Amino acid sequence: MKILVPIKLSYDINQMKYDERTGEPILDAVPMIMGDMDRCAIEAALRLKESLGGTVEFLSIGSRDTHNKMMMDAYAMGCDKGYLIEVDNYKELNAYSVAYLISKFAEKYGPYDIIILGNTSQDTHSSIVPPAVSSLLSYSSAFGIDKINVEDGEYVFEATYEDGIYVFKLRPPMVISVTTEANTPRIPTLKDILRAKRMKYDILKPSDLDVELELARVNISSIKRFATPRRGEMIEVDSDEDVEKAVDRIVELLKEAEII
Amino acid sequence: MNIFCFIEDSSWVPVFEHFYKLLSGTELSGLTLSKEIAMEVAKYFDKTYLLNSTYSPRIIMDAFKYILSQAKPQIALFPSTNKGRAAAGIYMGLTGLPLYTDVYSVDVEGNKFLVNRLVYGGTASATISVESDFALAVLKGSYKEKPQSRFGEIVPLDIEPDYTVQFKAREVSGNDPSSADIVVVAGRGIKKREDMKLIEELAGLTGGAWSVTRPLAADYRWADQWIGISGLTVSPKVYIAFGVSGQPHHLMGARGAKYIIAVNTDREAPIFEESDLGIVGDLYKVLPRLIDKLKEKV
Ligand SMILES: Cc1cc2nc3c(=O)[nH]c(=O)nc-3n(C[C@H](O)[C@H](O)[C@H](O)COP(=O)(O)OP(=O)(O)OC[C@H]3O[C@@H](n4cnc5c(N)ncnc54)[C@H](O)[C@@H]3O)c2cc1C
Repeated sequence: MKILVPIKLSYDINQMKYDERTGEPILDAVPMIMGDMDRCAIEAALRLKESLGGTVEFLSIGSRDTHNKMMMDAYAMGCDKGYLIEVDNYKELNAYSVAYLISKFAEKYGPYDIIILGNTSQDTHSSIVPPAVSSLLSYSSAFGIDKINVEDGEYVFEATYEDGIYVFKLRPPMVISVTTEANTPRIPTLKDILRAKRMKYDILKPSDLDVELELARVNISSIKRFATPRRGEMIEVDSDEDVEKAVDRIVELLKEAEII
Repeated sequence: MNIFCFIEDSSWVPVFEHFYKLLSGTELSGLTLSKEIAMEVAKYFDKTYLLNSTYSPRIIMDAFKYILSQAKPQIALFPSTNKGRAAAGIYMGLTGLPLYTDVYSVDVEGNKFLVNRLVYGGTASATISVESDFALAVLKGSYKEKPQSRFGEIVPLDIEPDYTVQFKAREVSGNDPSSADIVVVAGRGIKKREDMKLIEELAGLTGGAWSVTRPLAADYRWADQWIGISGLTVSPKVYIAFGVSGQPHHLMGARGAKYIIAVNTDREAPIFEESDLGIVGDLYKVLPRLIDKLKEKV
């Protein structure tokens, strides 16, 4: 079985920093990492390989300078082979261009039995690249998967959506996306990390994938900290009297909001 | 502008109507997967495509292929929900059109549209300039627009339902954070499962619902849903949190609240930066006293 895991280098939103004055993000100061759900996608692929045999390949789009560490992380987890499609200003690519490059790659380097992605990226959390890859390739698909089971060659995927639980039964070839509920990704040992350092990944250009159309980009005209104005009233509670004061203020606010 | 929508359920009709007006729509069509929903919403759409099947990506793909062979919508609108995003992504793959999710408003500037969307865990808003044609997955604001009555034709699609997918609807319990006026939220500051009774009691006394942060649901199994980017998005009048630190992943689901109240022992907890009322103190002192006080009033 041949599995492909496309991974994205994302901003670590837990460490977002903004310019106090302009409200603009200071992106140079925000570390970039492999998203949590991408890690779960690699873990899911490795577990399928361990139970059914096969290879796990991974793919990213970006530049050698920024992506090297993430590529090594993917090798350290146990992936067999990595590819990087080099694109200038890769951060500006729109979601369609990303899905298109992945599908072109899968056509040329595949066929893959399963393409597994993280359900959302860490920074833009759109969840649209996996379904777009599935429709570009016309593969069966299921998204936002929390549980994976394999029964007699049939894959059973469980996903929880707003209205309830869906169970999809699919056969390869297929495209799926997983959430952080799907598994707990393994943590590479020091030995794994050292071994990964010796691994090489293939570098290609969009033109190697017969991509002729111009890759569409996102035309961002501004980006600013988003915050609903809040009152920011604070009460410090040390004594029992403070507790009374705090409780009274909560009750007043509940009245103001017409809750009570 | 002819606009096509994926109607996940009837609660999205006012939302689509709002964006239809913003985008100067002239014709409104939609796809639904249930006969009941089609009957309920058809009069607000010029055309309602009906595919009577349980949701699956395959069904969506087949329906879109058919609809796109019949008409070329200039703009497509989707809910920013799990199924809505999947449907939007499938549509993007089929059409090659630009698609943006988590959109909360659109401004029109000449022949350009300025799309405002949330990014970076809801901590930032990006404005993106697009020209027709495109697709948007929009957030559910509380739009009060009364939808306009339209022609109301229902067009059944001749596509085989997906029999391989199984669906188990969420149990409709009395506790529904998505529709409550006040949501009482427990975080890891709640030490034992028994203490959840306090949270439930406050929700009961205020006629609201309760919920939790993800660790309480996913790790401790004290609840089957949580609030946040990977859980529910709520927009109550009051969101009141006990022992919740306020990480971006969680707050993303709570920012729609009119008032945010937080009780936390840690003065530096990020939730205080986004609170209307912040109580720096032990929830085990504040919560029982608040419950007593509300009982006195009743
Ligand atoms: C991809 C991804 C998706 C995620 N999605 C979600 C999501 O959708 N929803 C979600 O909630 N989380 C989500 N998380 C997890 C999220 O990042 C945080 O870990 C989580 O929200 C923290 O929950 P918490 O506030 O309950 O716990 P903690 O961060 O541990 O905070 C507990 C707080 O309680 C306070 N406290 C302790 N004792 C008391 C006391 N006696 N009185 C008052 N205060 C007290 C502490 O000071 C602390 O601030 C996600 C994480 C990832 C990686």
